[in-house]
Amino acid sequence: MPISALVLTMTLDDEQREAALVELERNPFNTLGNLVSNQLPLVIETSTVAEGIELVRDVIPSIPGVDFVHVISIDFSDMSSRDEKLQSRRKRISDPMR
Amino acid sequence: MSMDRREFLKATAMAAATTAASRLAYGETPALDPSVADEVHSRVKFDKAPCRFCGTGCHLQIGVDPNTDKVVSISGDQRAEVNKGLLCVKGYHAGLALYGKDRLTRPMLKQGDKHVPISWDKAIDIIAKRIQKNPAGFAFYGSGQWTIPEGYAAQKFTKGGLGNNHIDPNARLCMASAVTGFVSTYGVDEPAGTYTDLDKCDVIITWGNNPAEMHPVLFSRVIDRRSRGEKVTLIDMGTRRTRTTDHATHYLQFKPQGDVAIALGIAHLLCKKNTYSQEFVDKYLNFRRDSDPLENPTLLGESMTFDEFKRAVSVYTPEKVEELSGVPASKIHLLADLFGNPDIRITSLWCMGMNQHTRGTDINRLVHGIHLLSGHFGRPGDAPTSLTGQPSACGTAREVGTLAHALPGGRVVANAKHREQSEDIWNVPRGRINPKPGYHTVLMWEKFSTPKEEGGDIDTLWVQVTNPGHSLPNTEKLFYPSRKLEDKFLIVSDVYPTESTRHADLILPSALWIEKNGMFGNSERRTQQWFKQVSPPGEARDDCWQTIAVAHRLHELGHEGMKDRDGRFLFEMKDEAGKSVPVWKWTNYYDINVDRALFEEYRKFTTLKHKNLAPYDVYAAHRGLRWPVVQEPDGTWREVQYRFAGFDDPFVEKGKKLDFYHSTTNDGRAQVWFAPYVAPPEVPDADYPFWLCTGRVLEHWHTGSMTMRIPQTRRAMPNAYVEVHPEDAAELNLSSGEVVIIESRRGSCELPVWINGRGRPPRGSLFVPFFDERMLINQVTLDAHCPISKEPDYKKCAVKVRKLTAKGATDG
Ligand code: SF4
Repeated sequence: MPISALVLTMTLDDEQREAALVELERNPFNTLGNLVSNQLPLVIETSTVAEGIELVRDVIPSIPGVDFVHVISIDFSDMSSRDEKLQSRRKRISDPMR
Repeated sequence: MSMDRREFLKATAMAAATTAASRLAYGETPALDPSVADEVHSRVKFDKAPCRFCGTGCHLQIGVDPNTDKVVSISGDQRAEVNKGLLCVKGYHAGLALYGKDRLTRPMLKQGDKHVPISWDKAIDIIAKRIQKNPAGFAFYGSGQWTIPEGYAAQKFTKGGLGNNHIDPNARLCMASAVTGFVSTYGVDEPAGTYTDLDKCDVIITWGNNPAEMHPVLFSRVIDRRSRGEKVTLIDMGTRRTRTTDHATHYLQFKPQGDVAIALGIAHLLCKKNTYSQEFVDKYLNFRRDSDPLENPTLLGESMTFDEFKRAVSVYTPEKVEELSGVPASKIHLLADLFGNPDIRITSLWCMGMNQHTRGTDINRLVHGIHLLSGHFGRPGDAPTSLTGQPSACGTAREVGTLAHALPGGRVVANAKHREQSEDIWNVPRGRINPKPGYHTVLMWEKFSTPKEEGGDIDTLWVQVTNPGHSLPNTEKLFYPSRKLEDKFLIVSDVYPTESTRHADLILPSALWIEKNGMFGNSERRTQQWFKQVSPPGEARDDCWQTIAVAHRLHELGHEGMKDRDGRFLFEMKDEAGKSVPVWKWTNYYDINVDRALFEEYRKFTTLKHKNLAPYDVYAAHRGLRWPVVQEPDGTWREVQYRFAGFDDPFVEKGKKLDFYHSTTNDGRAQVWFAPYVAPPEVPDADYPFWLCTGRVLEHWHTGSMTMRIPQTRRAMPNAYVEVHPEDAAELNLSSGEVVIIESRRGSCELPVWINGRGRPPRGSLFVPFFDERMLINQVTLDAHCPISKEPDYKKCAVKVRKLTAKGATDG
């Protein structure tokens, strides 16, 4: 299970920031640290890689009140397999010209 | 302190995030909770290394489990000034690039249709014997991912050993125009400013550049400044909307090649409105042009007066520029007014958009020119700054000079004095270095793909640390033909199978990144060092060792070039006791630090152009230092942030505010160039009605050979695509995900459509990222190049789009 450390740059708007913090707290993958000015330390622990990517790339940045997502670290020492089953690299959509 | 493993990992992650948050908020790094620090270091061994990927040059802290000899953790290095503890998605997954299942682990020779394993000894022998047979027909093709010592060894082997200048890096494809721009403006390569300018400027102008995706950690400086309430105006100029545009104050969309007209328009308005800097014109500038810009442009050109310059730019009125570039005249005034305001600080950023350009040298010169003319130069925040895509395009390709015309430290083979200096440092006989420049990248591959009887005089080509079968332009012309010619032998050293290894005659398995010692030089003149931290898999070995081993085999075969003046082996190295160490034997390679030995020799080259480097051990103790690095009276080493500026650069003549001490006119002045607008070599027409632009994406690095093996980055961006404007898609009856054929006069490529994707091209324009080896867009691109830098234009050619209806059948 990958564990990622993030820092979220939160909006300077108090009301929107509070709403975003509530939203972030609701997600069971997230552990929130203490806000440092408008920078929020956040640790996310997901059961699959795909969930982690979705959170970092799509879900968290789309929360109103989150201005930017900085990625600080990743620990993958607990992942049993480093190379998941993915679509073949070699396959082309149709035969190449040669 | 006792906690279970997951709690421990989470506590470590939270400590890292809290430290980074503090740094972002207050610019301070609080000490790590000592109990957590102890726990961390008792389980995992951490060491520093610069990121393997882009030219930003972030530093990482890499955690290795000593029991498994594997990387288990990656963090941004809190002590690194470049990234201040932050990383992007590529950087924080960089450790996983080592562990793809299909790592190359044995040398393989092509026999019939197959590659069969052979011993290293046999592989080295095959290469040496081919070179021995025809040294002049050998070429070395490297990259801006060569470490500094690797590039230096390849350079010395080729130019100092074989007396052959056919060595060029893939960096020719990405930053050669930046080099010619710097050299013809300042007389010396590389930016005067540094990343610190991003923290100090009021205005950032991105010229066809998308740092939000391509240099994301740098770009986050801008976001953070704004989040602290600072006003930073971002002007994004491009041929398509990107993630950078999302943060821009103004977005100026220009027609391909329109950037040249925009720069000329700004220069014209500075002159017309008298808002140029009289001080700069009087004290620091000369003016130049090419007498024959179309047929015979040169690096030096001819001088012109300021009045002649004013007259030359006067035709580029805002209205004329609007016609050429598509950018409204009012926005040209906006840009000119910003440059004309001496009370603000302006940083220009560019990367491939300006470099991969048939007028690449011209546009680079022009952007330097408007900064100089307006006086927006030499103060913190005022800088024209080119960024590099590769981690050591600056450190290796540009500084070591692994280019067909260059020698280390800013020297060139055509200069007799430079050759003598190099021969002295290498201790090789007079006349060893060939005065004739070798083949630049496009020509090298053209010669390799041309039959010998038709003038194709390159017959053995060794590729290290790059993937030309994927990344060269117009591969149907430059790459594949050689594969059908019997006498052409392609050697590829790499870490994973690629389009290049698949077509190679001999494949050599290489050590990757922290599986070897290394040094890189990033975009801001910062030289960085790291030590080997884990073992390479199987029989994979360092590229530098491979070069030295071939050199030694040639020495054994009696090749005179592999001897120095005293008859000793070209790469003879000694231990501290003065005893010779046989570093060409893999078992002895790490008996001494070969990187240190090569770097200490290379360092002697660096003072000529005032790119002075500190000793190797100083870099081992730092997170990189920006050259020139000079020794202070107390023995410490000081880096320089602002070159040519009297307040920081020790080589500026005392009392001077600015001093361009490598001026091509030998008078301390920089050159402001005029260059006319020239239309692109291929433009859309009735048969090929769309513009095609190619580039990168955040998740993947270059040809994806590493990042496509990282599950996280691969899942995040699983395949290439073609971005199409929604109205063009509607007209062609295309929907997202549908596969189309993109076809040019040179070749074709099948790709799924993405409408309203991450980037948004205008009508009549397409964008394709080049990372995906299943969709080789460089079978389509054009090999037309800048006449001075020889850098090809990957950013504009004419194509048509056809819908793929069934396998093999098309309509449209
Ligand atoms: S890819 Fe570039 S921006 Fe990302 S972490 Fe590496 S050096 Fe930094």
